[in-house]
Amino acid sequence: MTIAQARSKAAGGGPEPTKPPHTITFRRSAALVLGVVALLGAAGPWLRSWTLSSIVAPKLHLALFAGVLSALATGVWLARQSLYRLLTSLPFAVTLLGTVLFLTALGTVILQGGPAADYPSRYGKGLGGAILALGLDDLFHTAWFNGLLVLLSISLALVVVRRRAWRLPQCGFLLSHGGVILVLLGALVANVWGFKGFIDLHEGETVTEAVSMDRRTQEMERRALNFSLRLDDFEIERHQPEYRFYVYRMEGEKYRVLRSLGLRDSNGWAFLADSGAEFRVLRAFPDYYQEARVKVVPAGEGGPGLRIRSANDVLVEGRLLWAGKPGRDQARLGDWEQAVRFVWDRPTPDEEARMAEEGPEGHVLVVAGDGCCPAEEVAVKPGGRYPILMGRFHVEVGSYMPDFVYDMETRQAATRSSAPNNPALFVSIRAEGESGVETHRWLFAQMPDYGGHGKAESGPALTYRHLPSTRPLQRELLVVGQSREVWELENGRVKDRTVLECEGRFPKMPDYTFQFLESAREEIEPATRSNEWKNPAVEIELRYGSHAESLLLQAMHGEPILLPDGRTLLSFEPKPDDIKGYLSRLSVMDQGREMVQKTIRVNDPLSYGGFLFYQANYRKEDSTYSGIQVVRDPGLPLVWTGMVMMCLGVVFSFYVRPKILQRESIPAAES
Amino acid sequence: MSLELSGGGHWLVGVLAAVHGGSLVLAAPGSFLKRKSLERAALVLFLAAFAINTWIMAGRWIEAGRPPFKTLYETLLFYPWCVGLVTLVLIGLHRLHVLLAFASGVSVIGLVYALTHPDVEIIHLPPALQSGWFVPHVVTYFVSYAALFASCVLALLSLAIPVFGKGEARSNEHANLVRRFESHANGAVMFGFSALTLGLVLGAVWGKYAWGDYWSWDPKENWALVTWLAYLVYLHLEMVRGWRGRRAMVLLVAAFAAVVFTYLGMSLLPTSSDSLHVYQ
Repeated sequence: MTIAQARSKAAGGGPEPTKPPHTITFRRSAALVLGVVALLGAAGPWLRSWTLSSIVAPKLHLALFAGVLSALATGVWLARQSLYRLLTSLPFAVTLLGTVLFLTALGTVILQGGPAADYPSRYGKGLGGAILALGLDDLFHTAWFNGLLVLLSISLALVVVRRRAWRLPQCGFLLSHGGVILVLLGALVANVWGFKGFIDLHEGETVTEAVSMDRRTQEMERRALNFSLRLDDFEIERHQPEYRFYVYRMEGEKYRVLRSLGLRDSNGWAFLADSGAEFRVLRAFPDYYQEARVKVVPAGEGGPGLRIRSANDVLVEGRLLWAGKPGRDQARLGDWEQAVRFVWDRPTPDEEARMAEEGPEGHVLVVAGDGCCPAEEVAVKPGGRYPILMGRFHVEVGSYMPDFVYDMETRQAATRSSAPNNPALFVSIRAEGESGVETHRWLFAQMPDYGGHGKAESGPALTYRHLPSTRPLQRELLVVGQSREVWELENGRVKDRTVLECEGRFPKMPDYTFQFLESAREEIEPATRSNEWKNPAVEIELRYGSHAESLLLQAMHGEPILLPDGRTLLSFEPKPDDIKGYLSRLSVMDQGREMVQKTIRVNDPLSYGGFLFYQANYRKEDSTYSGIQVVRDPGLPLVWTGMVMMCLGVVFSFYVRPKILQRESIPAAES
Repeated sequence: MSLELSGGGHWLVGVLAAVHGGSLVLAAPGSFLKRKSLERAALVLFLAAFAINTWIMAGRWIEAGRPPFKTLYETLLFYPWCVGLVTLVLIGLHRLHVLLAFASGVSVIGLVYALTHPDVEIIHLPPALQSGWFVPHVVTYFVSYAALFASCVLALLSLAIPVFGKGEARSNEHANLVRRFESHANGAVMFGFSALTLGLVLGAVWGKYAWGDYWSWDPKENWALVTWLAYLVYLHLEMVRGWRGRRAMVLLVAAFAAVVFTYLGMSLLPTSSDSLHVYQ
């Protein structure tokens, strides 16, 4: 400032004749602004660690401080006239505004608030060092930048005084300039008396303090709230899930979304960018599952089946019985006490007699079909050897454990009891021929997916179905396909025989009809369980050139399809931006009483005791956590008043003041 | 059941760009060769474009179920609408038909970019934007940007006239025209700056409610401040002798460059990753 003073003093005698006065004022303004920046910049490192005690304690510092301060005050007092003129001049205003403008832009070009070590590597040793030395890495919080804002406030206050802005036509001027002063004053108040901190909360937790971090020292500071805050509940609200097709393009190692297509009720082919392929939706399954559908086939291609329908002709789920398939030949009908068993051939008197005896438990291996052979079900016994898949493999059934447990001590499989709580069967599978590889595994009836199921390298996919031992039921129906009869059994003994009439309706079960299928086959078909989007899948037809194929895409478990051009992918996925809001239910307890309860969300904070609580954070991996920002800003009324004044002032200056001046000037001109 | 590209009105954007193109082709010779009939035809096309633009915005609003000001694509549809509105008001108030060609021109540029870079899908409003302040804040800013665009065009015209319109006989007429453009440029700035101030204040209020700070030195905020200060410098310099006229008009053009950068340039900044405002 001393330079500026010197200059302003030197130039105080009067403007040079060759230069227009505003040019000189511009120069002085620039000098003053630079002087303030230089002074505060130099004092910056010292101001950073500034506390009252650090100044007052060492006497030398105190003397130095007092000396500089009084020198400045004297300088300002001596030059007060020209300083006043300068600070209230338009060129000064423009210079200061221009400087703030430049610095604000600079603060967006230079990385702000980064770790100090980053700057030399990012900007080079010299430049990076200069940035750090000048505080340009945290420009908006430096003493000199904020000093300029203080200078701006002083200049604004002085210009209001100089213009005597409280008269009516000056109303806009007063409002707009006064408004800026109030906003800056409010910011100062917030800086000195305000508080900004953070609270980490888990559901059910109560806190009485917030934590804030000092910008300069990076030290944590705790602040008591004088009341306690409890997080009752945290919830992430989501939009209705939406499933869409996404077309990706491989670009280097990344995939870019080219298109997103929604399911709509209209027909048509959609082109897949420039991949040369197009597709259309054949069917959509909101809650996809593989439904076993029954298909009537020519004799010899299938087996005999019984379809049980309820009266309203809805297929009773799981009530499709197959004669001769262990475990699939009987069912219990809803609340109907009787079990229904289905056989095709009429039991011989011998067999009829055995029905009253107890039957042992049984084991069925379900062999999944592969490219050459259809799926099959084989009834097996421990110790037996069975050909499967048209003899291409043999299965040797080893031990049977009704209640399997793996004994950690002996490191052996064992059974806990003889009750079939966890039936397991040990099997060895050997491919036919010399090079046949043998694989061994335990199959679990209750965990069909456990252990190598469906993996090509471990041989054919097997699942194990355990059939509990049979005892003659108290009441049982035996449906005989061949003769279209229903036998009523009591403890295994035939009580009554009825020949079915009229589409297989059994008079004693009027709610059900039996449909006999002499030769039928089960086929797995995609279907939906409900209309809720729980497990969406779509069947599409993909066409490129003359080739067309139909494919099933699953949203939850599917993988994208790579199109023939080798760089475009098609997938069916949930839309990613499904988060609607973060909601924290907060309760405030003050002096033992619950005062307020509010669910806060982004854009809707809780206000209590001069603090505002904001929904500020969440953790993906911890659904009970909510991060709350706490702000206390006593300067806020000043800021809001100032901002309203700015808006009103600008409008007044531009649109009302000219009208007032016009009205005043017309009578003046007339007179 | 089948598919449709989301944002079903996308082809209409092509129509809009074409109509603006037509308006540009008619308005440019109309204004500069002073053919009133061409200018009138351009105005009809311009009105049609404004109607289509309104339709697109309304359709997008309904389809998205939220205000369509979220993405760059959406704002590139909205900005031509604002420019259209301001241009039509200026034509109605001050017969500034000369703006037609420029308004259509800037619309064509924005719309062609939008056409070639459409949103892949309509995205939901993230929690931070779910606020009653969103619409007033954005609309105020875009109307302001449109008015400031008009001021920039008028400033450019006032600067161009002495360059292209040489000749002794017409110098008086030119001087009048320059004065007229300068005065209207100033008028547009007054409106634009009022809206800019209001937009800044609305943004501050919203910021306070959304994340606890009315000002957080975010890059977009900083550039909004830079823009505001640039026009503030213009408004003050305007009162300094020697800075009126040509110098002031040059300043207006430069200030509008700050507007463009604030709107579109944020992703170029190294600090943009800190920003909550950058269009994706």
